[in-house]
Amino acid sequence: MKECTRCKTGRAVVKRPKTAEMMCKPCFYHVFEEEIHQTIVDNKLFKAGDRVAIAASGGKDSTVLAEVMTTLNQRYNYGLDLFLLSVDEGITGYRDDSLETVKRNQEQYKIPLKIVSYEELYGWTMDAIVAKIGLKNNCTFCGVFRRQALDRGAMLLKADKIVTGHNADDIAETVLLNLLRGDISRLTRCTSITTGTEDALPRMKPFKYTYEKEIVMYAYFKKLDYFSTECIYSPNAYRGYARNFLKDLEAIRPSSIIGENLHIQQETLSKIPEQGKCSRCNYISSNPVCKACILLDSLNRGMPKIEIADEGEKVEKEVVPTSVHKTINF
Amino acid sequence: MSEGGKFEDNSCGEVPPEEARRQADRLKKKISDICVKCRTEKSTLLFRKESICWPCYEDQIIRKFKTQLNATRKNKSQLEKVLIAFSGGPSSRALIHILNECILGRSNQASAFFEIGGIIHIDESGVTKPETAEEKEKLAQVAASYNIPYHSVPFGSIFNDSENPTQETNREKIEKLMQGCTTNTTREDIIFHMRNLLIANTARTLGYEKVLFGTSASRMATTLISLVCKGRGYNVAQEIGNNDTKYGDVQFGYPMRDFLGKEVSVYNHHKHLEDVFLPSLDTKTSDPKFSIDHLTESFIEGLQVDFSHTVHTLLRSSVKLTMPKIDQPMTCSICAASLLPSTTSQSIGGEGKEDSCCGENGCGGEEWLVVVANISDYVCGGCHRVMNEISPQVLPPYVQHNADRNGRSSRLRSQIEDYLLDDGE
Repeated sequence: MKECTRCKTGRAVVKRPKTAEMMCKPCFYHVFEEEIHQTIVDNKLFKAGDRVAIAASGGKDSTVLAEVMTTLNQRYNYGLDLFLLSVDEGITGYRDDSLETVKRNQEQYKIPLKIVSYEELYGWTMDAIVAKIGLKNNCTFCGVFRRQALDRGAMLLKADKIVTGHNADDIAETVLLNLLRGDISRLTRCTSITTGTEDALPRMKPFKYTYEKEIVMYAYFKKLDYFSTECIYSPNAYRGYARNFLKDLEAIRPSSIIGENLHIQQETLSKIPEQGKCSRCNYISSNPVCKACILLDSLNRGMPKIEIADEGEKVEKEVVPTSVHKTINF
Repeated sequence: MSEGGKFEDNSCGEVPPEEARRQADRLKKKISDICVKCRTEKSTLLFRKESICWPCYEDQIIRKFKTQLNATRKNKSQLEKVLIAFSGGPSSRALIHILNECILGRSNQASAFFEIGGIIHIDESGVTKPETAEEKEKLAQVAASYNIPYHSVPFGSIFNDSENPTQETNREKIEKLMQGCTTNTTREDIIFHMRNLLIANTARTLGYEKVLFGTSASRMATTLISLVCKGRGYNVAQEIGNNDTKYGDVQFGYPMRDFLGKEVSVYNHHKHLEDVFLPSLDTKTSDPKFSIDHLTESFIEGLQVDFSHTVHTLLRSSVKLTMPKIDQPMTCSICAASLLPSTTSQSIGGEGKEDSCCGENGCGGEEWLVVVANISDYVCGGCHRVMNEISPQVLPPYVQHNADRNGRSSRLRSQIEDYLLDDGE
């Protein structure tokens, strides 16, 4: 029998991916939760009385997030008003199933649940969008819409903050992708533990220093109820490359994953673009009209192929209606 | 590279349709029998999606080279005497030729601003298998064919220590250094940094202010990602930026940074420039997870095949990364990178806030505990990870000297701290 390196009495059942320590279950739960508590305290993520929306997809990260947030809120008397917030993209056979999981979570953790759907916000489900534009670039729509949908849902609930289940692996992956895409402005933003502090609702990532593997372990040992299916509308191929690379990297040197080494870059960047507001929906945006409005406009006008070119100023010129230019002139 | 030297990047899978269509269009239009540049010669090569003839290809290479070469100039009015770092590889081989050509006639400008003072090669015998007499001869021959003075510096001289001479030969010390590392990643990492340090030190001794490296775009891109993965993200600018200040008065320049590996190969092939193949640590491995550098290299190579813009996009990213301004004279005891206030002892040396960092596993043994504490307190984030994967007693003596000096200066600083005005202002 292997002995737990922490309590010296229990039977070690896990080797922590982060530190390679052998631990028994209770000790693993303890250090896992305590590290997240420490992250929350060190970064002053919350204050008493905050209304906090937990972004819940029904997947492992958000399920563990709901579990840990409710546990820590009780254990340390954060005084937070927690609730679950889900986005229904309208993907039959995927999201409808995972939302069932979230509904069970709601009963289990006894916190309210709010579901906002693409259909009610934009008048389009992802099923309908895919039917219209096919399987290429559909993820662009989904990603852009989801970001806004979460904010809108949270505002409806009068939330002060949103917490998401982004873990260290996710952040490392995003850093890598932003480097590969040459997207410096996103690179500056993607590693901070809180984003959108100024205009939009602040988003917190309490799992910033948590390894994905440990989250899976935690969910597995605690037998948490979560949904684990990839989205049926094909996962992003490019992301797949990056993900495989990071998996291998973690095998070579586990500490490569942790955000710490990367986040310093933020300060080293010379150019930080200004963020303004969308002239149509008032949502935070780097351009005069936000991406969601542009995409939505194209969908409604039935010409989605033109502007998915992405990332380009040309896009704005082509699609943004003349009214925007007027706004600038006035 | 195929015989005719003809090559092209594969089309891209994941680019937006708009872009893909444009590229396809461009490709369709540009492939012509006649060179699109001079419109007289028959085209034989495809260079960045343009079909051109060899003289125009050469012209493009020289032109892009000069742009990059100019970007390395700090003092725009003075003649700079440069040292060329020659690994034996194709890219540095091409660098010697192109620079020499620029200076000797093709460009008045280059000859007015640059003078090749010498070629330096670090002999890594001991790290890998020793260089044979034939290899040594070949390397020296390259320099001789251009009439440039040649300096071959043994890697072992990084261990030279005038204060405490020891019985062991440098070769034995290299072997111990290699054995003292627990991972290939760390082996490659310290070789990289010590090699650069050795080049900088030698350049300084010989009176040079600038060293030019043959690092290609492909290599640059790989280095960027692997630096980030090794926890050296914040000093990317110092490591691969053009006007770096890492080694103080000796500046490193990378005039080949615009060229893909294969573009260099085409050039060398046409010019009959032979490189000298010297094996590196990962030459013979078949394990994709041999080390972070090795993994990153195959990752970028693979991406480049499917997405031909990968390398140049990465380079564009790297240019935008800069070092934060820090008013702190301390540098890493191992690799000489500037220490950020947050990477020095306060945050990583003592009780680590991340228990991930200070791995207890592997580092026990009280006899060198003191040494560990000392060096680890004055290394950068990346080297802190190195310290977890190496027995500190095998490190060259300069590391300890640097750590001691850093220690003294930080003690001094703490004594007068109360009287210092807010730094950074």
